[in-house]
Amino acid sequence: MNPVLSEPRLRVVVVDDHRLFRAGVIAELGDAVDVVGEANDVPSAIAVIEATAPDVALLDVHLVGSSGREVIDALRGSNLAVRFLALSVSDAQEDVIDLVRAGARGYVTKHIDGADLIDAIRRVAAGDAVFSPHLAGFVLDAFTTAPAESTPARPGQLTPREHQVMQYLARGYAYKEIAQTLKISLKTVESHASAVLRKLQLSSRHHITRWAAEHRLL
Amino acid sequence: MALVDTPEAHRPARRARLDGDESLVLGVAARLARQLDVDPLALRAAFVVLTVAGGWGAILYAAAWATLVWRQPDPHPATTTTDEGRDGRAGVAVATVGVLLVLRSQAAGFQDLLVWPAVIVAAVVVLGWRHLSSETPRTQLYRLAGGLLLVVGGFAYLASADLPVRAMRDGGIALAVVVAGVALAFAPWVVQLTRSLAEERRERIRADERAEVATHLHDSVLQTLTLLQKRSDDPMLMAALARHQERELRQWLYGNPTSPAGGTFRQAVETMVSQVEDQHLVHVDNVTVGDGPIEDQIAMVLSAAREALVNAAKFSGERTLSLYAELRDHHVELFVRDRGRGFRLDEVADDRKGISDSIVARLGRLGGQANVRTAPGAGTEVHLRLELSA
Repeated sequence: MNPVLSEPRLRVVVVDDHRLFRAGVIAELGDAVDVVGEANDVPSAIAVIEATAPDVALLDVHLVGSSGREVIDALRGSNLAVRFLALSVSDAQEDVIDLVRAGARGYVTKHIDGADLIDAIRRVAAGDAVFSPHLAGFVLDAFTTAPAESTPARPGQLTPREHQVMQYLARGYAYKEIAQTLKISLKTVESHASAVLRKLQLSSRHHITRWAAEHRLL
Repeated sequence: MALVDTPEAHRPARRARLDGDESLVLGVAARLARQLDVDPLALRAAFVVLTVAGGWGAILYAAAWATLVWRQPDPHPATTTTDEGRDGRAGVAVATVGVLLVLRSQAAGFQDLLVWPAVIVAAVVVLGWRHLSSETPRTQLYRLAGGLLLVVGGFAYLASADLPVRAMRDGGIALAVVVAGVALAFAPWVVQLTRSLAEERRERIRADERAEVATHLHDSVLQTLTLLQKRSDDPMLMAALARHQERELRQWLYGNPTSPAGGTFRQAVETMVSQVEDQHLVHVDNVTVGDGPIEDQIAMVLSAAREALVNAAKFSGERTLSLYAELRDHHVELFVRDRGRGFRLDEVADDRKGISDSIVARLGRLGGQANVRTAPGAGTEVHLRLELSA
């Protein structure tokens, strides 16, 4: 499953305002990755990431008094190749979507077990998108109208295949299981996921904001 | 009070000086002011004005001195005022006296009758400057109300006095000027008062919110934490307690408190999930898409999904289940999935098959479909779908 076993271990920074949670995550990651730094707020996160230039930063959606989004925004101009994976107990969709739109390559809830988290980190480091069932659900909710089978998808809409992949992800299927079920290659599943992530990031802010507003009203 | 160490303060024998450190002439105004808890300057202004206006001030002053001289002064003066305020009041007093004197000698219609309203207004100004910031907003409000009452009283007095028309006009102009002065004098104070009232209100709202949060955390989170410590020997129960608490807290933090009576699809799914989690000590990874009111058909699909969840919790051997629930305009669709041991669909007399059959039959009666995909070792997924007649 892991094609980079022989390569050097991935360098990871953990940003979360709860010390206990950071300790728990680091323990779960074990030897699979190299945790090179920790931070508990926005300024220290920016400093640690700039100093250590990690491959992946695990970023809590909510940091005390601010959002993980500020870390992504602050580092956008830099030359660092760091990729962000959002991590949260919060299911507030707007916040999660906001972080993904800011540039996070994926979102997982803190219920995720160690093996899945390591897998997600590797995926993000390789430039793929990571959709937890929840994020896939948010995406399906955001792009409310399911695409018709025949008509080509308009920009900012999901293609039928993308919609299907998202639905499998929301149902708790792993990428590999989706590939087997749909009889397509793992690479194809990954490229669908990346395409959806791109659409999420590029779709007009207005569309998402309106969705969030409507969603709150329900 | 820089005057504390003057020689007068150390000579109690000189009883003519009533109040060593505050007195200007004989200390009557200072002493009286302390007794009445008003500003000595207001009294001084009153004495001066009354003296100028007809000599009554001097008489009153003498009378006050004669009566007050027998009382011992309080060695620890309680009232202190800032020098800044003193300067402001002194300015007002001097200006008022000056204006009164000029008016009295120059203005033809300015009679002694008009002196009274002027005095009242001057008193209002002096009182208004008093304790600019050291009082609570409430007493400041009372003071403001009192001041306004005085101004209105001055006008009423003026109106009731039998004055010639010309004098009335001149007096009116003079009063208008003074009132404008009062308005100017009060403006910063009113602004400050409004601001501090708003601040007080914000503070109260914040305190209420803090109290509400504290109460809620105490009733729920702290209780659960205590329970967790007591039952730390039972991991299953601990997990269930923690899950229950998490759900409750999440609902409190992000939930919609004003939900409609019948509930929405999302809420119904959440309720169902929490019940299954609590009764069967499993974790359900719940992803819900879309929302809307619960109709009878949808409720029946949900109860079938509940049976599928319970089934998976009992027989799959897995502690984590996945639920995907989707409500669109024209259909409702649910997937219940576990990665447990699975089973062979064609096996007879299997409990799970019986339950599966009942789920399938239930959806069939509604006009929907139910599919069970399973194989030994490959987990189970129950798929429920119902087209809605919109």
